[in-house]
Amino acid sequence: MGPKVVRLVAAGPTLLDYYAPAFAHLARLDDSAAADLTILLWDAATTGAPFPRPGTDVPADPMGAVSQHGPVTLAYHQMEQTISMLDVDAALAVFIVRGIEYLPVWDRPAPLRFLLAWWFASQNLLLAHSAAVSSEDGAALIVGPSGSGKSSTALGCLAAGLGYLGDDHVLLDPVQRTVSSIFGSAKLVPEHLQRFPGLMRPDAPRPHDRPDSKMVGWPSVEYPDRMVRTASIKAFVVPVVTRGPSCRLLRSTAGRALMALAPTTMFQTPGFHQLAFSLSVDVVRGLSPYRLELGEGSEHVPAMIRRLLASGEVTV
Amino acid sequence: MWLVNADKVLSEILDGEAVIIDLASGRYHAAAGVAATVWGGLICGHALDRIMGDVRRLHTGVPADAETAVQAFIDSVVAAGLAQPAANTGSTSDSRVPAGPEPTPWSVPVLESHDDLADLLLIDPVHDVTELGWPNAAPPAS
Repeated sequence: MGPKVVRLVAAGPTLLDYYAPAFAHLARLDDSAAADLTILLWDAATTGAPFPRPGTDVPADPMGAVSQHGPVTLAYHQMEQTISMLDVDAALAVFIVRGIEYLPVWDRPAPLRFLLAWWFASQNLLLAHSAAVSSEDGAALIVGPSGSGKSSTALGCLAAGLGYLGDDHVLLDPVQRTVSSIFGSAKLVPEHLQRFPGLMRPDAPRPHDRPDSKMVGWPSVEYPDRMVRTASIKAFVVPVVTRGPSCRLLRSTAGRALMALAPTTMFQTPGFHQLAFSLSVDVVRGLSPYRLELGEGSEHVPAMIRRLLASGEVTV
Repeated sequence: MWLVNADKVLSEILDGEAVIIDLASGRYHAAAGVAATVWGGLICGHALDRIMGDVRRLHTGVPADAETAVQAFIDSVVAAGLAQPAANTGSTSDSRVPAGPEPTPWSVPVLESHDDLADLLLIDPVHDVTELGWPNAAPPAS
């Protein structure tokens, strides 16, 4: 994953099979290869191992009750019935689920996200809430909270033939100035299916999924030739839905870039707020950010991004 | 003078624009231009007179009644829970708010606040699901 090797060891095939599509596009190494991080996974339902119950003093936290014990970070997520535990000194993590039927629909496209975010941060890498697309000239980060047009922009670029690194979470190296793909998935809402008919076949909803749940598509499976594992960061784009008469790329500021990247990255994952903020600042420094106003003519956006990557300039 | 709660507030000033994140509430704020200068002074623990010195040093066209606008901005920072008044025992730091490449024009300092992510800290799944966890919602209270 990026510059690191992560080994997944599972008790039984259930979780590995469930999560395999998200990582299918990454390089698969021989099992004897040295790993930077080992993650042990099991589910209580198929292994028969009882799901640990937290103590009564576990604090309520909407993103998971997180506690720190020396080098060990522990999160109990009551909503998802999962336990994530990372020993950063031992480079060892554990992930336990009660059963995959308890996992929300948004877990499968970005599995093990807490563990990966914590561990990557300890390696000065940021698992950012960002999309990324690329051309032969480098990658553009597309950064903003949910609903800002981030996923639509990334999917539009994928449909237009640009390289794809992710639509929601990508790994940033502030020192090497690179972006790496971690999850080969795409979250699809009805608008995406209307704008890009036939682009992807979403997974069928599960019986207990809510009717308004986002669907999941797999660019890593349907467009393996467009999946890019790592690219140099050349542009930082903050989309804003304006519904104006056209789409425009305008120069923005480092402050606006940090506003788009840091809060949403920090608050999506508990337990690493300060480190995520610091890494976000490191990412933004030295970049020339742009505001992408999304109005009519969004079909021109991929070409605008391709020109931005090629020349570093925009024509408004 | 005022004290910024360093335990719950993270901030960075980039190219004359401050990004401020309140870890306790999930709100995040921007302060640009003169507002960033004032925020920088608050972080340094400066009293109002020294903050005004920074404003006059780093900005042009500062009006005679600028202190009123600066005080109003500081009041908004306090109201947002980012800082609190402290006993005026002198600045706690000799730090100076760094200057940009050249002075920038005066503008009324404004704190731009966002709470779109605050909901992430307000959901309480502990009370919204049964012991079986998601997706087994707790029955409504009768």
